[in-house]
Amino acid sequence: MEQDLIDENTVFREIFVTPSSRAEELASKYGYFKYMIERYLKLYGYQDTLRLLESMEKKLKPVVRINTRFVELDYAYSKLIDHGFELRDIDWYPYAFRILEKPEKPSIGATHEYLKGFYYVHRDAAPLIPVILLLYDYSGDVLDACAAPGGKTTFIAELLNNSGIVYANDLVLYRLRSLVSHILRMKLNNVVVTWLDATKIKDVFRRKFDRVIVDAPCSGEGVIMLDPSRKRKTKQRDLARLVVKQIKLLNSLLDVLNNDGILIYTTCSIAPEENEYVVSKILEFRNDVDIIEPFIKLIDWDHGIRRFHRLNFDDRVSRCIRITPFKHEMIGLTLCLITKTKR
Amino acid sequence: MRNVLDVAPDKYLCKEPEYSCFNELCIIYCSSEAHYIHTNALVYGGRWIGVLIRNKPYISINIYEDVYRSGVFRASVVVSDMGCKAFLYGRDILKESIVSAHPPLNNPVAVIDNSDNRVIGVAEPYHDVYKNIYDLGLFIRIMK
Repeated sequence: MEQDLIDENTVFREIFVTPSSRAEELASKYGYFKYMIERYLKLYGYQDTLRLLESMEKKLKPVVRINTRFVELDYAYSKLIDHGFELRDIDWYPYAFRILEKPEKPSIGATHEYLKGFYYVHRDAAPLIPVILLLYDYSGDVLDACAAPGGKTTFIAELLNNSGIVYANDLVLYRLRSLVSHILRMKLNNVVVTWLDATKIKDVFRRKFDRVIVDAPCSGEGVIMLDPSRKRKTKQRDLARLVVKQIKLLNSLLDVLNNDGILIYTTCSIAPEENEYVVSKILEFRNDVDIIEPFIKLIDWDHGIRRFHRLNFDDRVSRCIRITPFKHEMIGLTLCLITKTKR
Repeated sequence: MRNVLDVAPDKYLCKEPEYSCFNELCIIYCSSEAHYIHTNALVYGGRWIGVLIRNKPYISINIYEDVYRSGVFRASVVVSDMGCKAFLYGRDILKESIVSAHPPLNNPVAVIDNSDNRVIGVAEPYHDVYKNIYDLGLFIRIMK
């Protein structure tokens, strides 16, 4: 099965797009690889592609998430206001705020309150969404398979509030150091940190989980507004290689999910190749999984797409959700809730 | 813990602590929740109980805060806002920054922020100052 799933040449053939002259023109103007622009033109049409590209030129302001395990919301909020920060509510989560204005000093990562663990600084609000959806009406252990640097891990640990342990894993050691530093800073005592290739978790962990989150390594094209180098980082052949890894990763982690458990597969990417394509492959080759709708609707998100370029995806991917920068004023993000069914 | 903080160690520690080192800083922890993970993969887990700095162990901030929940701040110094600012950037505590001190003071002491009574690190008496052993900012400075 893995051989069928993971042939790089097949993936490359299936996802390959030939850029149009329109794509070439926009790619030249905005500094992208041409195939990426062609992708957006196929997804959104010309006018919305322009809106997307313009939205990617605007840097997003970071978001602070208050550590409610440790400090009262009003106290933390008032401390930040006293420092001179201007904060805006996030409609769908009352303990996080977008920073609209900041003082000259201190920076948001240098306040006493930050060092004392009062809050975590996210680059955007969108990464909060997968955690809120995963933990809806749930208490128990969670596996965060690609955890570093720790935004989602610390959020999960905070929401679980000692009703469960977060098993936070990553492959990259220097990023795990950041993760551990956040855990200590935020005084979280329900996190276990491991250093593994996530595809090996099923061999090393002698247990399964009811909740798993996979924030898969991706092209990062959903965060171009924060890192413009992503415009020209991932060539089509690189993308095919990445997609193969994503499929292998997701397939492997589904093996550590209990029956009736929920796994969230998410990327900071709006590329269908890294999202609906990956999930469709899994649905094609496994008969023990299904996609479910989120239990709550936080915002008016977009749904997963069923067709892209020459590709027809499994209908069920329409239950996935997409955060689109020019519509939602957040980074690009896609997520799917996958449940394990009995064979 | 028994002699200085006047508490029973087994209430706060565990029989088989483990540690992981990040550059010159080693974190000591109790990892009962990780018994089904092969130890080679384990980096950190469960409860933070101390640090090893230059091969000497010091109690964790978490344990100090647990002990002080009773309202008794043994072996601690309470520090002004200016003193906290300097301390959290790795500097020592000067006498004039100390708002109050709770004996015994001839061993490592917890450093407490006067504004909210939270522990922000550990210091050791040295001549006229309290030398910074570690502070909450250290994790960000060393472990980035």
